[in-house]
Amino acid sequence: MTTTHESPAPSLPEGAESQTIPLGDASLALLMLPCADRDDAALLERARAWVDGDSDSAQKCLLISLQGAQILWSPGRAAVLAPAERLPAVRPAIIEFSQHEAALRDIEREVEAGWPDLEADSSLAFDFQENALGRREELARRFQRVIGLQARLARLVPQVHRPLIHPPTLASQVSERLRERTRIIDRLEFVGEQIEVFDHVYEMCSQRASDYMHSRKGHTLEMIIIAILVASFILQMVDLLSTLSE
Amino acid sequence: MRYPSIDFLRTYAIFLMVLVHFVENLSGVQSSLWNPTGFGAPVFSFLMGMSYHIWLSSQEAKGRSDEQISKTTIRRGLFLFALGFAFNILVWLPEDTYNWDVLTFIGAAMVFLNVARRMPSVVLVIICALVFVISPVARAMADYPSYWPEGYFECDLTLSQVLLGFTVTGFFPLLPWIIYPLTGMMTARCVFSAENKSPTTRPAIIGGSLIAASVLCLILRTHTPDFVQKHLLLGWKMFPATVEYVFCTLGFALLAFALTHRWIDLNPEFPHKGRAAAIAGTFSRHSLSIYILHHVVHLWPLWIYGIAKGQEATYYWGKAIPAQPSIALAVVFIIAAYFLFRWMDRTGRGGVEKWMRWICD
Repeated sequence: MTTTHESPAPSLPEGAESQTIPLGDASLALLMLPCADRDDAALLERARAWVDGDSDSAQKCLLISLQGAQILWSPGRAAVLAPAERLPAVRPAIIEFSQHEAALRDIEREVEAGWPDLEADSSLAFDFQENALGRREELARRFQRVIGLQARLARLVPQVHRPLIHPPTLASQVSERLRERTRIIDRLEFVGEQIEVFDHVYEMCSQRASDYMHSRKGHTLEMIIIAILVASFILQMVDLLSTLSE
Repeated sequence: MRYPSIDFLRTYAIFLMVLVHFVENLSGVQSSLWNPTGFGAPVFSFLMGMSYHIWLSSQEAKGRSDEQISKTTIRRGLFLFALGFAFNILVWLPEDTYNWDVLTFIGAAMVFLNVARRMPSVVLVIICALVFVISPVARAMADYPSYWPEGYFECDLTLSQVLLGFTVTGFFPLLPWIIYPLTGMMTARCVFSAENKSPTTRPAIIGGSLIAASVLCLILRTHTPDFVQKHLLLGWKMFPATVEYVFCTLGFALLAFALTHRWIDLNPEFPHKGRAAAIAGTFSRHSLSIYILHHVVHLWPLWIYGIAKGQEATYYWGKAIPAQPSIALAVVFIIAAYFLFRWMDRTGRGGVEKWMRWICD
């Protein structure tokens, strides 16, 4: 699955490897820095600057130190400074975590973007009128999107909620620490609750729309019958008025 | 939201109406190629239905309740209805109070649109079809020609004849004129619907088909039995609005709107804020005022002149001046009205439209 590209990581020490790994819609630029000296502050600072990148994001990178390995992580970029023999153990853990985090971030972004629509649509969860008919397709699309978000979240949760490995390994500890530091479990819970709100509103909207369409067919038929009766009544009235006019 | 296409079409209807009224009332010249009587009122009524839908959408977007919208609509309808009577009395003189001119029709139509706005389009189509079908029958039952002995509507002041005038035999009776605003509202629903990717295709096809049907009816008329010629296919007549007339004018309104909407509203290269659009907007915004004003400026002098000459007020109606000066007067009036309305806009002086909003909204 992973492909290796050159990533813009300037003035790397010898043996350093830079990769860009696609993670669904996002990607992870991963910098592996073999480093015998754990206290190489200059290298750490350069790596931190690279991981922080030039993004304006207020969230700066996380630093995790474990068993001689130093891991700098931010969404989309990560750097590992560790003895060369430990790098292969840390790499899959970071990629896997980043994959989960990117998936969750993606869901969070979509949920966040949906709030204005939800506020606009919430009135239809109570009452559906003729003038809202044109919005049915839009509502159906949003309902499907919510179902899609739920499905994605449902697939993500078991991957994140994995039992701890015993005895712990460097990879499992890295993974565990990253999960703690990024509060991924809490975020899963919050986003799940938010999606429930969306689901609740759009389910009611779909129910109201469906009920309305069902009753509308009956009403349409009734209105047609009434229109025919009124036409007949008008003709009778015209006949009566004509007779009276003579 | 203003659509330049609607402004242009309404301006066209206003120009046509002013020209036709000046020439008919001052010179007694009926329809001709340069004076195509019968297109102004249908286009105007059709656009009224469209404008009502646009107004309705804006009110709903503002969050006004259904009840508030109904109250405003009914108040506006009643205002127009009462204005129509006042107009008939003051402009056409008291003996024509119940001639059922276009203002009373538009007032009644607005009240009906308040009911129709809640109906699905399929029901409105059926109502239009029913109106179309029963109109000739109702005219035959009411003995329409007996109300038009001199070429204009006359009725006794009895309840039955007045009601028949309102529904069947007047100048603009509900049957079949209600078809125009209803079709306008349905067209606006279809064209301004967000999910309609090709909004002008259907109105253009239907409009073209209706015009073709009208031409076919006019051609085939002479080959039909006397009964059909007497009651159904009466030829090209505005009074009564015959089958051919309704087909053609409705088709014209649909086709004209579809084309102008496509070429003007949906055309990013068209100068939507240009001079032509501004002129059309000015006339369109003051359409009600211009309707009343143009009658006042050419009919009151006619009545006053008749009385001054010791005749009946209406003595010179249709025979005051030749057609050419009437046309010139119509053009002068339109130019003067434009500058008057510009001045009113600049100085914040509203016309009848502003009074209506002040009273009804």
